[in-house]
Amino acid sequence: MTRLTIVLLALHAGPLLAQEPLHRRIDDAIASGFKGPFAKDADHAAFVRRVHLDLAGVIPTAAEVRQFLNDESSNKRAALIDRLLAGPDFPRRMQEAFHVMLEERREVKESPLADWEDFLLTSFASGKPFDQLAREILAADGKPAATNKFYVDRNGEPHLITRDVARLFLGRDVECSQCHDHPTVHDYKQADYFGLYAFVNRSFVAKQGKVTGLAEKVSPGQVDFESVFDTIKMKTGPRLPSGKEIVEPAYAKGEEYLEKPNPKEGKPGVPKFSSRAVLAQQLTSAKNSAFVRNSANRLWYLMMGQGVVHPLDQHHSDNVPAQPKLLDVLAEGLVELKFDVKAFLREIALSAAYQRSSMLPGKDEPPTGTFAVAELRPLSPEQLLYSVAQATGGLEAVVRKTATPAERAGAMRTKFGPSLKGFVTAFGNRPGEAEVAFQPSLAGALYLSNDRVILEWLEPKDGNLAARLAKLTDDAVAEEMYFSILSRPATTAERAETAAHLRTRGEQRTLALRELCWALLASTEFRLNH
Amino acid sequence: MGYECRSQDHRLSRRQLLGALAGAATGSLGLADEVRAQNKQVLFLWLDGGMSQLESWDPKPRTEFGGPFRAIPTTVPGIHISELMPHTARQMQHLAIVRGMCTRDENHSTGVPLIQRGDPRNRGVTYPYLGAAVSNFIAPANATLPPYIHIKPYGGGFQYGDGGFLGPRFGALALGDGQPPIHILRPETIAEDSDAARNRLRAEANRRFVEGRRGEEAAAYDYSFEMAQQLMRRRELFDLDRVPAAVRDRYGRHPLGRHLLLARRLLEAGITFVKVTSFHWDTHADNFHYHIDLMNQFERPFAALIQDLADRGMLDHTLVIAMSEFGRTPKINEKLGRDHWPAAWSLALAGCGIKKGVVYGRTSDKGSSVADGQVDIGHLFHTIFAALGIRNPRYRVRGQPLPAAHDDMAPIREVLL
Amino acid sequence: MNDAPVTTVDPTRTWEAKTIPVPRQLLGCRISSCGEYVVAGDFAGAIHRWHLASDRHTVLAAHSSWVKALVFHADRRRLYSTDYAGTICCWNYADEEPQPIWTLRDAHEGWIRDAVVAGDLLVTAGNDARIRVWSANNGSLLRELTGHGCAIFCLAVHPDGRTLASGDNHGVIKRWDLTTGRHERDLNAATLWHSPEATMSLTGVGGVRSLAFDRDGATLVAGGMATTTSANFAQGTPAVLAYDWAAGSARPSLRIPDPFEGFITSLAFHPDGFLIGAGGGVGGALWFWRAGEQDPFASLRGLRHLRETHLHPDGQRLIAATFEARGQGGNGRRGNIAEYVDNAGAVKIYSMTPRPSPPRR
Repeated sequence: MTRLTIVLLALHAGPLLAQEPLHRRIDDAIASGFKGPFAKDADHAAFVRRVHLDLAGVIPTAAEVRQFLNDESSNKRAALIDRLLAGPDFPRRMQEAFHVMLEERREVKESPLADWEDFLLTSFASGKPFDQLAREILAADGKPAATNKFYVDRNGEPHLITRDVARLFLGRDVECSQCHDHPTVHDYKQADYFGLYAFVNRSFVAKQGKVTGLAEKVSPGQVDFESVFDTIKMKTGPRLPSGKEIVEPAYAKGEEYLEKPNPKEGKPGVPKFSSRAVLAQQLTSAKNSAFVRNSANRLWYLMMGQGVVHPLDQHHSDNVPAQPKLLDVLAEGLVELKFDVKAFLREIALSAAYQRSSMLPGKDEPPTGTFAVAELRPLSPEQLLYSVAQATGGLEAVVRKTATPAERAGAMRTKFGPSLKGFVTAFGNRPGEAEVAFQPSLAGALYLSNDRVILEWLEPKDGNLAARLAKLTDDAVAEEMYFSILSRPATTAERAETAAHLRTRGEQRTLALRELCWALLASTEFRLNH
Repeated sequence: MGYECRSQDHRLSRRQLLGALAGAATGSLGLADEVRAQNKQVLFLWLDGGMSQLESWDPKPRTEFGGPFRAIPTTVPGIHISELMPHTARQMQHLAIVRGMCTRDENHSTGVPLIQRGDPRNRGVTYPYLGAAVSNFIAPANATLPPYIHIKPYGGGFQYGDGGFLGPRFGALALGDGQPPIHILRPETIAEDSDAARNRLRAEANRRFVEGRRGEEAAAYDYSFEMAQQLMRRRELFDLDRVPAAVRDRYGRHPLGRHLLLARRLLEAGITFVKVTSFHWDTHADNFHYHIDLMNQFERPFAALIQDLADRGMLDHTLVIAMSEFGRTPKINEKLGRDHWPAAWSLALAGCGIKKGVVYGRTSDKGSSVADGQVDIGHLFHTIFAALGIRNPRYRVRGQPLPAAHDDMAPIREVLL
Repeated sequence: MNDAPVTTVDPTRTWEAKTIPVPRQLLGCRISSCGEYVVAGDFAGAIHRWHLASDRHTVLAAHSSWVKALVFHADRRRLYSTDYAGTICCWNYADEEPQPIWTLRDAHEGWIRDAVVAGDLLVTAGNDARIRVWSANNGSLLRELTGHGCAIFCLAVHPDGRTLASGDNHGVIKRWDLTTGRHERDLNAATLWHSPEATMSLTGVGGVRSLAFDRDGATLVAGGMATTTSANFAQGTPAVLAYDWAAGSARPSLRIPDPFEGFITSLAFHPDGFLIGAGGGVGGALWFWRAGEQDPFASLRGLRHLRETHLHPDGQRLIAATFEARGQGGNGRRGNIAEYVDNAGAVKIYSMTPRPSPPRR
């Protein structure tokens, strides 16, 4: 063997000595960070419900649950994961989750919600890598117009945009460092804040005819800032945190524009150099570890209900995660998979960590962030609405005729639009607030208790759940009800209780069934992803 | 510059929100049921952002930092407050002003929880907010309405993080803009007994679910339904249209006026702890111009409320507290604003257990430091508990007794009856 | 080489010619129309007077609350001073040690925010939303103009001497006939007002901070703050609106293209026709616009926060009352309490004629 061959072998040694699959590396990292005890594996009923909620955004039908439980193949969980990832609900589920994560339910009339939802839907349906999606949102070149939404929803306000770029794309809540170095987080410096600010302060919202778009001015030079605690004046050009100031091309006065502004025609002009485009490129680079780690952390959170770093916007050296190695593994994995969202979520779903039960392993709860037991996580308003519709039998007919993600999302939007507004008001956060923690609300309890639409769905009609139950014997009622609503078989005690209640009500069978079904819909078990 | 740090919707870490300890056994040690039977109540008026003590309780006219406003005499000879509080000046005989507050934290996001939890100096557990603490100690066992209600602008919901280690059940029911949530009326298609039956089944299902799992979420969710029931039964409380127009005008039709009037109704209905929050007191610019409007929005309804509580004989068993997380700098900045000043600030107390018509504590002539009677938040918490007749308040968390407030501080005797 | 000073006004070459430090903060400053005296009111109620030629400094003491609005009367060598307790004093400003000739207490309820002179009339306005017209001679109340619904921030007298413009907190500008007291019309400056709802605050922010007529009275400009991001920090961008005074219609606003956080605090037209705007916010700035142009042709940035500016009668200089930081301590930080003192002020003179070259040896 010549030296050349040895070198060639060494070059190829990477794939040959392939690393373990990411899902195994995830579990190894978790095991190395916590001695246990760990919860046992979730049973199949718990798994099928959970993975449907996480990858399709809605609980399975009773038939789907029964089919999965009866399936005896050894790889049925992996097969289900793949089926859901390839299914028409996955893009809608991701679109809902990312709209909430990035826009926090802002609705601004200049930036139509439907266009943005379509943009996200198409992005996830086409398998767009996450870094590319982030790049498009940050560059906001208006192709399509919906890519402007991040900026337009915030009215182009550069301080708000700086804070949200840092929070949502870098995992850093730097708000307090606008005025001085962050008072409690040593890593967040005022200079970093203004370095980011200098990227986005030239952008402004401009109406071009009926379309609201995003325009950019030429460089105003460096940004001045000073701390409120001293009057030392500082300056910076655009710069990522822990990065270098970018080099901007110098143009002669009058030569800075590709297209000069023309106020009479409402044209804001297009500068030759766009700092926003540079931000989009640099920030979303695989070499920007803050971006990679934040992305990995947020995708992990989507499946697990808890970030490795938590809160999700508190990445800094004093906030040491309970499982630091895990985030390293996830970040590496995301880059290896080239930011492929489906592939990344697949690995998470295949991990033992994801498939753990939410039943505590002992009398003590494992510390938060060890991922030794499955989190109890709230359903989003969307998941809750569609799951109530699914459980009561109103969703199947709507989705039966749809095949593509766009058709599926469109049909659901059309049928359930008004109800969605109600669910969001009752169960979601106010626009502009991150939806991260479970906040059971009085509004939600009253909604489920008294909303007429929900109560209508519990009335027998058109082969829905109530209609089906009306035809069944007492024992069969429990089975059908539990599979439909809680996605699992009823226990003996539950069957007995159901039968007893039906007997108490006697002839008022419809009333009894309504009460039983409502109790399960309003239960904590239904409300949570466990 | 966003110094406000979105303080009103600051999200605590999930650990803090759900309490540090699962299944912590808590309770008040050695507390007689007689205290509960006395039906004491609290009105806690929180002026978020830092009301300026120099434009309110502790004016320093014609001094270096005094600003343009004068001081006016009050119904108590020798006590002067800012000219911006003419109505309150006529209620001074009910009030006790504490002018020597000196606390640690000059940030909103950390300072607000620090003050409202009583700054227990990080014992590794999350202390409950004052409302949760007081409910825990004195809420009557047979209360039909939630003991801790928070009237605030913007959104409502259930703030179960306020409960700290006491658990989510001790959180605050927040009424956004004082409104009860929609859907407070049960449709006529559901009879009361059916509603009771379905909720019984629901509760049973939850009991089964929680076995072997973490209990916080289920407890909080259960509680939201309990509250829904309770509130549906008393929905007329929120209807300010039932109050004569003249009274509504006296309090003012602006948010804080309406909210303090609603607070009075809730106190009349027996709610143990009513918190009223007013945001946007953080006058880093144009402090003086703003305080003309701000103080009017606060002091008119505040004075009306004190008057009404006194007239109804409620002041004897209702403790009133009006405060912020800190005061404002004596030094005036370039935008004619004042910045944060925890070093020397004021608050007001009235009612249950509190001396009438007194001032405790004194700042220096220029107001930049406390000259006499310096007290910290721990002193205040001890004072509050003492005023409510809660002697030696303690918790038991996982078998370990913990003091209810900073354990090397004592109540301020000078303001207690 | 001819060392005679160049006196052509060229705002692109504006420079700070003089600084007079003052130990207390100032709210405003004015120069007399004879150009000899500069006055500035401070937080203690003292009126500082400097005789420019001799640098002699005198304190006129009569007020006990903040003094902001000061106005000179050319013909009668008088100075009128007002304060935030609603008091008006009249002085012979050129006396060696001036004493008030007359004093009106409770001339207004609350703050007097602006005062202007028109012939024999002194006109004042402030927080009580009433414009009061007084005899400039003896201070007798001649007329009251009501109609504003909130605090009045500024006044301006038309070059014809008979018409008055007033601007308030909510962005309303009113036109009055001073001879009859009649309210003639409103001009809409609502874009300068940002309501509590719009700013998530209890007070809102903005208002008409300054008004100025051009030399022939055809145009009125109004200064304040445009878009705002925070009421409590009074953060936003400065704005200059313009109106055709005769028609009562809006003209295109002027622009301030470079980022500045703050208000327009003063506006004044130069005899040569250009407009001078002063900015106060985070620091200060000056901008200069030519008639008919929307973008400034000159600006001076990085200045101290300018609370007020006033044009020297020689048209070559601008007098400014500025904020000066002093001592230790900021947000919550106390430092050494002995060094905890309030901030201070200064009167600065900016020259718009080129800086003379140093004399040759």
